[in-house]
Amino acid sequence: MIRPKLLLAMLFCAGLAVSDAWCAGAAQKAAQPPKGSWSVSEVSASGYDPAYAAYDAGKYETALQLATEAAAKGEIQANALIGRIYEQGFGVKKDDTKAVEWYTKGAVAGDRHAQFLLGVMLAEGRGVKKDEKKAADFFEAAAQQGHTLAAYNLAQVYVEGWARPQDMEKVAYWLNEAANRDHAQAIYDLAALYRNGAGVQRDDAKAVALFAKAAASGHVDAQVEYAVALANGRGVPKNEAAAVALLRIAAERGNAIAQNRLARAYSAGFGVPADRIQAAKWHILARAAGESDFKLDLMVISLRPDERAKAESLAQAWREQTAEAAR
Amino acid sequence: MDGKPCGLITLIPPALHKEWADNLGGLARRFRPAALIFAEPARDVLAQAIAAAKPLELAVLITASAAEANAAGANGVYLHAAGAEISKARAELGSSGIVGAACGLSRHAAMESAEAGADFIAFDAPDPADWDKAAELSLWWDEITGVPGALAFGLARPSISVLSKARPDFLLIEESGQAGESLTFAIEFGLQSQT
Repeated sequence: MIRPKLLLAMLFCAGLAVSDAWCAGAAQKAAQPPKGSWSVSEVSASGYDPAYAAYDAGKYETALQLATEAAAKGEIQANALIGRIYEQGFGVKKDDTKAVEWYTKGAVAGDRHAQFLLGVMLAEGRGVKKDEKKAADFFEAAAQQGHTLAAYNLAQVYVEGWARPQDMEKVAYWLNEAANRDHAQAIYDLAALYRNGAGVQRDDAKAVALFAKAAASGHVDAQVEYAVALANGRGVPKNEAAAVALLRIAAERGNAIAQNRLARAYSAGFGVPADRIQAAKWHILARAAGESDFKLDLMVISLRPDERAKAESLAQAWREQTAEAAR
Repeated sequence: MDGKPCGLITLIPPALHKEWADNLGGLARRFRPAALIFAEPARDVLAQAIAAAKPLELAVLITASAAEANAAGANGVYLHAAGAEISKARAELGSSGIVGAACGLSRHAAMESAEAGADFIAFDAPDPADWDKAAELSLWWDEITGVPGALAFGLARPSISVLSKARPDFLLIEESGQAGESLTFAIEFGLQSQT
């Protein structure tokens, strides 16, 4: 069963300091338009859009003026940009109600970005009364026009069974739509469906191939899943060294499961030369993050004091480097 | 406990298996043992306990053969044995399985078990008259080897002053009256709850 991630795409989008157009692009690299062309709107598909170019350059007042003029001329993609500027309060007083008004204009005119953004506002009850059913309708309208995040959110609607009855086949369909446009979380979730046979025929090989694809795009949970498949030779030829390499990437990124599995690899000499100190280092980090492993606990206890001190020191150095990199 | 972290291993007699299996998640939330040992478990209740422990990543050992542990999906075994039997269990469980050895009050059994590949050994002291001896052995073990050591107790449990000087890595407490009594003991004695 895939984990509910209903608001992930919404939050992901809202958390970016860019508009819905770029939000979609951020999640679908292959579909991302050249910057400034504002993406996928049929109207602006020809290329340069001065309003979005101004927005990109941080000239929000200019962007608002140009977009307002464009909207008055019936260029539907301009509505979403105006709404976005009000939603974010860039160069104007933040005003969710106005944002919803502009999104509504664009959505009704058929712009998929406006439809998606209006769906988010309806789902979250911002600037408008919360209405999950309408939110789902707008996600579907946008998704039908190829909006990746809308497709992903629509899949979550069907997973959760809110606003619409739970329907795993539809979940699979919409995840597939988003996955085909390289949405990493959608690829990962779709892999989970294939592994569990939920909404699709169970297919381990396909699941592993999708985990591999999501892993290659940097999805950390997928990296762990694919590493485990490589380690066990499940759905893919066994490759211990590749498994450990992938676990290391995920472990370095702070994934506690990967850290613990890497510790096990070092402890057992699996895909990497056995190294009790490295094993202890990674287990100490994983344990601090809540991963339990009695076998590795026993191994750490069995270290000599100097070995244990070295492992603690390496773990602390890793924490400091990670904290430094995050600053 | 003299500044040295000391965890809990809970030994569960058959009479309490069902109660533990039914309430494992809630019990482990009170205090998290390092491992549970099911003594001579019935297959169905063991399967239930393992299923409950798995998402918590809580190790489940059994006092039965390694073959039975493998068949049940347990994490390992706790054996009143030494030498060849420990080697055999080690071989059958593989490097990822856990082998604990109950060594009574025998230095020789402890040494043999460790050499045979035990992940931890335990000195048993069910009789209060043996507590001082067990504590002495535990301290000796702590000083001479890196293999984790436990002190095992039954219904009668010593004072914290006895335990403090023994420096065990774990207390292995056999429950008798009700499920979770070892956890209460662990909390009172300031043992280390596992993550």
